[in-house]
Amino acid sequence: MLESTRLKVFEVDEEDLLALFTEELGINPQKESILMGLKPISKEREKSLKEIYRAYLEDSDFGKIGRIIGAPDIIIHQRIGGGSTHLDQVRLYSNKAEGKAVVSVSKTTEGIFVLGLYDQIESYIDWWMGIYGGDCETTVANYMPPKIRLEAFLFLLHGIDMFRRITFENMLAYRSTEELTLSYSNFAKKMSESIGSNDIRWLLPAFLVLTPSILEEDLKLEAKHASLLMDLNFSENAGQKDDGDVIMTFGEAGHVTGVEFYRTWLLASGIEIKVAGKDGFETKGRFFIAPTALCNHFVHIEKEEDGLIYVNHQAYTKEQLSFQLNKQLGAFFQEEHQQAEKICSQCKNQVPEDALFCNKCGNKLS
Amino acid sequence: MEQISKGLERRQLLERLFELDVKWKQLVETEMSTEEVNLEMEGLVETYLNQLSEVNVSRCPFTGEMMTLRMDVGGIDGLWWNNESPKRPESNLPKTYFAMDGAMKLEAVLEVAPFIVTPGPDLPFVIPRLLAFDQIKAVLSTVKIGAHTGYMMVYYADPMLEGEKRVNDWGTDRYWEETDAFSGMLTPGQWVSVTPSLMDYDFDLAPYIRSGKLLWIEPQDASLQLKSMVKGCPYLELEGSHKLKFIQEGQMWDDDMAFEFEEDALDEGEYMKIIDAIERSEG
Repeated sequence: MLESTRLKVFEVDEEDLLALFTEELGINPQKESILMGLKPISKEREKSLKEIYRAYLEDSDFGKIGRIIGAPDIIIHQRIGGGSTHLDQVRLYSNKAEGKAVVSVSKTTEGIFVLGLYDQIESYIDWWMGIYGGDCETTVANYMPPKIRLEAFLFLLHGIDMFRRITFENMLAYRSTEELTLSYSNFAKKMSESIGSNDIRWLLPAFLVLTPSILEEDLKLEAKHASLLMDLNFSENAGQKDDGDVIMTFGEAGHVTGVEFYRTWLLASGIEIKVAGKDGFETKGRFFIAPTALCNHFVHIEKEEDGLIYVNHQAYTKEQLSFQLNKQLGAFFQEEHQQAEKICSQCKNQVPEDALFCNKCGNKLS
Repeated sequence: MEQISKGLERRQLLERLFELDVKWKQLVETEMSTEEVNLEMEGLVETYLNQLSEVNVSRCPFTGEMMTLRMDVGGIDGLWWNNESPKRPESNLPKTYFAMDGAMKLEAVLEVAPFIVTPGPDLPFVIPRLLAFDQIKAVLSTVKIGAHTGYMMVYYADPMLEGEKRVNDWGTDRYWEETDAFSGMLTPGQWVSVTPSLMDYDFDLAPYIRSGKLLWIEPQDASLQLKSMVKGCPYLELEGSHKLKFIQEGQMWDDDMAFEFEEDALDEGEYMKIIDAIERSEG
C-alpha cells in the first residue's frame, strides 16, 4: 500500500487507459484530464480488460489515481531532455479532494502509460532530484544574476552555445587556439537558425522546447537585447571588420559558462505548474533547470506587472535546488488553512493574526 | 516646531541641533527645565528625518529586488551617522535582507559633528563568517556620502538564516534582530551589539566574487545591475587603509585593533586618542 512506500507504479497499455478508468471504475473525466485525449478501446479488447487488470482494479490506490487524473486541480507539466538526452515528458496531477497525493503520468516509446502514485509532491521531487539533480555540494558564480528580460536571457544562452559551437568547429579543423572569436553577424545568423532548429542538444533551443508554453509568449528579439552580452562580460568587443561587422571574443562570463556547458552539460528540464481557477487552469509558475557538474542552473520565469517576462537565474547546490523546488512547487500543495494574518498599520508588514507587536518595525498592534 | 525649521538647510538644521544639545547638557547640569529645548530638538529631528532622501543602494542577488534606504547622503555629520544613537527612519527592506556593513574612503575635509562617526575602513571587505553559509551572498555597491565615497556591503539570505550573529548596521554600534513568530508575541525583537574586529574582515575580494559569494554593482550605475565577474571589477584595485576609523568634531583616528598588527605605527598621541575613544564609548 502507498501508506508504507511513498511511490506505487502501475503500467497500462495506452489503448486500455480510458476504458479502464471510465468503464470499469466509473470515473467521469473533466476537461483538463489526460483521459480526455485518449482513443476509445476496441470492442474485442474491452472484453478481456477485467481479466488483464484484475489486480489493479482491486487496488484502492489505482482507483485513487483514476480520481486524481480524472479531475485534477493542479497540473505540472515537465519536459526533460537536452545535451545528450532525448526528449521525454511527464505530467503530474493532484486533486485536493484526494489529499496531498500526486500522480505522475508518462508514456514509454512502446505506448505504455506509466502511472506513479506519490504520497506528496516532496516525494516526487526527492525521486527526481535523485535521478536528475546535479550532485554539487558547492556552487559557482552566477553570471546571469536576476532579473533579466527573457529576450536578453536568450542571447546569453546562445552566447554559451556559440562558445560550444566554435570549440567544436576548432576541434574539427584541428585548430588549437585560446582566443575564440566570432562576428556579430554570424552570432545573429546562428541564433536565428538555432531557434528554428528545435535541436535540444543546444542550450537555447533546449530552453525553448523544454519550457512548456514559452513559445506562446510574444517574444520580440531585438539587437538591443544583445547588449547584455557585453554588460555581463559574456563577450567583449575585439574590433571591427572592414564591412563594419563587430568582432567579438568571449569575456570571463562567456568563457567560464561556455567551458562548463561544453564539458559537463547532459540534460535540462522545463516545468510549468497550472492551477485550476474560476476561469479554468492558469499558469502559476514556469521553471527551467540545467544541471551541470558545477552547479544546478535554476531559472524562474516570471511575468511582471509591466507585462514583460523576466528570468531569475540562480546557480544552486543540489541541496539548494531541492529546497527551491519544494518551496516553489510545494507552495501549491499546502493545506488551505494557512495561518490568518493582519497588516501592521505603521509599516504595512504582514504579521500573524495573534501577534502583539509587528516583527518588522516593532509597532504595538491592537 | 517643524514650522520653525522648515526651509532650513541641512547644515543649518544640524548646527542648531548641536547647539541645542550643548544647551540641554547645561540645563541638565544646572537642574533646570529642558522641556523647551526637548520640544525644539524633537521637531528638528523630525524635520531631519523627513528630509532624508530615498536612495537605491543595492539589489538582492536572489530575487533581483532593489534595496532602498532613506539615508543621509549629505555628509557624515548627519544624525544618521551617529554611531551610538543613530536617527534612521524605517525602511522597507527586502525579505531576503540579512545585514548591512560598510566602508568609506574620505575624500574631503571632515565634517564637524559632536558625536562619534564610524564609517568603517577605507576599503570594502567581506565577513567570511557570514559568507560561509550556503544561503548567504553579499552585494557590494557605492554610495556617495557628501564628497566621500561609501561602500556598502549588504548581505542577503535565502532562505533566511536564523540564530547566527549578524553585524552592526553600517556606521552604528547595533543591529535589530527580529524574534521568531512565537516570541514575537511577547516582543518584536531586540537590539544586538557586536564588537567589530578586523580579524573578522577579508579585504581580498576576488576569491569571493569568483566563487559566487560576492556580487558587485558598478559605481554610478542607476540601474543597479548585479555583476559577477572578477575582470573589470572596480573594487579590486582600490587603495587605502584597512583600519577602522573614528571621527568626531572633524578629527579622525584609527581603531585600536590595528595596533595589534602595526605596533611600529604606535605613538603616544595616537594611543591616547584611542584610550579616549574607548572611554567615551564606554561612558
